Amino acid sequence: MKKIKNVFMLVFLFCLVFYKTCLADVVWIDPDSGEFYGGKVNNSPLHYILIGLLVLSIVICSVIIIRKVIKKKK
Amino acid sequence: MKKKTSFILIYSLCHFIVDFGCTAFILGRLPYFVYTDNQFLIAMIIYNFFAFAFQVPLGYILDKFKVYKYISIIGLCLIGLCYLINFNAYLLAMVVGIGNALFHLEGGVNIYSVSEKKAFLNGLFVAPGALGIFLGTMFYGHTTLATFLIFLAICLLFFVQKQEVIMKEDLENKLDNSRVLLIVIFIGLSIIVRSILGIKVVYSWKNTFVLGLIYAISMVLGKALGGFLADRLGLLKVALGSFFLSAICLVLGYNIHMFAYIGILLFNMPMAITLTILENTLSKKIACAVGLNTMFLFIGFLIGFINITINNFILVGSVMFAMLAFFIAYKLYLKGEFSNEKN
Repeated sequence: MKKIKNVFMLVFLFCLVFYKTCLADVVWIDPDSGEFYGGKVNNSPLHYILIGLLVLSIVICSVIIIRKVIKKKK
Repeated sequence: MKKKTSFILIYSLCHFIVDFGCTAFILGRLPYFVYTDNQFLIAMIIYNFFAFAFQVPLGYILDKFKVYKYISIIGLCLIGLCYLINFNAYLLAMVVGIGNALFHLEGGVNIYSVSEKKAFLNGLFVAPGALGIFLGTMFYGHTTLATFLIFLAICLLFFVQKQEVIMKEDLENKLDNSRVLLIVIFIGLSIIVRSILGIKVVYSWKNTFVLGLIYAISMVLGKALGGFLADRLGLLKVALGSFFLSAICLVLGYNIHMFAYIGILLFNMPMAITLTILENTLSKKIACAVGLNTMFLFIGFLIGFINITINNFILVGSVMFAMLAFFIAYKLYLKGEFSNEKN
């Protein structure tokens, strides 16, 4: 489990670095004029990878929590 | 020691990011999905309900199963998801609110677990939130920056989860249930008054970024300093002293900026103290205590919607009422025989 966590951390770090460059001007509002730019969220592959990662993280964390609860109950 | 410092720093930084991210979401991204001002207002109330009031049932569940780890990562992932998907505004507001609540619950419990019943660490944890909200209000257009920061926070929280959180069993106090209830009610009253005044006391001169930033920094310093001084001088002295002086300074602040800054600094000092008292009182239900603190803030937020103008008389009267409520709560709290308490 620890290895999985470390890998996850690295993947998130990787996404972190590329997020700024790949999706930088996807959703942006001009603070002065208040106008929206970019419209809807970009449909690039990275965007879906990020969504997948977040969902997977939620699932993994939930599994860890549920396992702990079951262990404590036993 | 090093581990403890990094632990606290990470949680404080993540608190800043969460509050920045949630504020930026509400102001910068939610308008994509609503069509009228009323819809926006409803979405904002939904967000506030789930971020603040919903912490109590969530806290109850966490306390029941005694699971305090990985909760904040789920919370941040939920906030991150809301930035990346298009969906119904109310549902998004709800999910972001729940994400915010989950982070605050885990953060509050974990910080308490290393704080040894002291208020300083609580102050350090809650302080950056005010700055996050202010900067979120100012830079809500930069939603990509917010998403970037949320990913950073997730990484940091993955790192922090490796450290073991030990909840000390000896933190149990000797208060009976009726006394606990009274303490919660009176502390709650003082928090509600603080929350209402925090919304209602508005300075018209605070309309530039720099003045607003100084104001927000005063809030941050107040929260951190409150905990620090309370550990050294005693909870009662610091809380009552800061309430009293803040009333004077806030009134003078309408004309003289410096007094407003000092006033808001003093006004925020009891925050860490009230949180610590709630946590020490409900020592077996820490997450619930953290949740109650924010639920009282939410009640104050709702009352703040009522269209009443706060004049100097009401302001001073409200602060005096908060002082009285705190005093009664503190006297009841002392019966719990908290060993490290200075009277």
